[in-house]
Amino acid sequence: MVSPTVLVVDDHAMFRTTARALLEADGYEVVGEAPTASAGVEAVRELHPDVVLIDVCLPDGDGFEIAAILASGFRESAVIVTSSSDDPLYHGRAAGCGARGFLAKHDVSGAALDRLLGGGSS
Amino acid sequence: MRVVIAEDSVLLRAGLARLLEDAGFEVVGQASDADDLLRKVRAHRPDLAVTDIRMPPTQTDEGLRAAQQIRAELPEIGLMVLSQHIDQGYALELLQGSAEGVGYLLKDRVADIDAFVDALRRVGARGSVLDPEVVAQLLGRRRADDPLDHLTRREREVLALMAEGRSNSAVARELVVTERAIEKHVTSIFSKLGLSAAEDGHRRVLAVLRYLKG
Repeated sequence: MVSPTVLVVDDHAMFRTTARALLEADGYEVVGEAPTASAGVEAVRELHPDVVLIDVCLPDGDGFEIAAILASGFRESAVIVTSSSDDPLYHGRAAGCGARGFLAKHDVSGAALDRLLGGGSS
Repeated sequence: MRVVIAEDSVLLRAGLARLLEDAGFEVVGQASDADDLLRKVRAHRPDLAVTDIRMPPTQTDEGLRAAQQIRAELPEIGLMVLSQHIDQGYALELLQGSAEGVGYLLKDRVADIDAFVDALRRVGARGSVLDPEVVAQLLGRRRADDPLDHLTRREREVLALMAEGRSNSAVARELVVTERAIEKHVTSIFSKLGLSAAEDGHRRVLAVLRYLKG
């Protein structure tokens, strides 16, 4: 089976690096990392990842707004919004902006992505 | 090399453990706060402890306090302190008295995995590691009639790498010159700054830092 590809968009390099290590250990292929919303959109355009894992709070924008842009313009990429706080509000906002879902950072894992991708793609 | 890591974010902790294991370290303990770190370090006696500065309950400098406690109690354990933002004060506090087996790096440095792993190995082997940004800040401080002004550009580069904790051979590799050339630069730097050239290894880092702090 081909590994699903992931783009990680977060302004903290350590988050990007550690998320890559965890997701790759779980069978995902992290094809790119971006530190800002604009670099993230650019990377999606170029890499067409299966999954975009994007932080709520980015230096140049709100993860939900970017998720909405990506969800409308790049439908082949499933957008998953993430944040260090597991605020119930975020789950609702993620659903409202066309993202595949919200995942608190402490829950990020290959299995969690599997669930979100399996649950909403049909 | 046996390591205990402390980081309150579950994802960063798990990811860091995975990175270190992939690099050949044995992660013998994972802690989520400073008390947990102290407990696990006392129990496992690792070669190296890697800790975030900000941890519960106050999210200020718990990791730094725990690191100092470990140093006082178990000085043979190497300590690498990671910080989201550069704080010169924290760095210098950590290096107070001795620079042996101590490191201070920005969390973002983890992204360059090879360099990060190399830094951990140096600290575990009783060396010193200081974030280049702290060194740049220290070098950027100006004073009247500054002896640093008498250094050549090359000598300043060598001084910065020395302050980060690099050995002569590592500085030579970084600047792509011979070790003999670096030795000459070091001698010249020490003489211009009035430092004792006899200092070596981590004592040299301390001498340089003491000088830069003014």
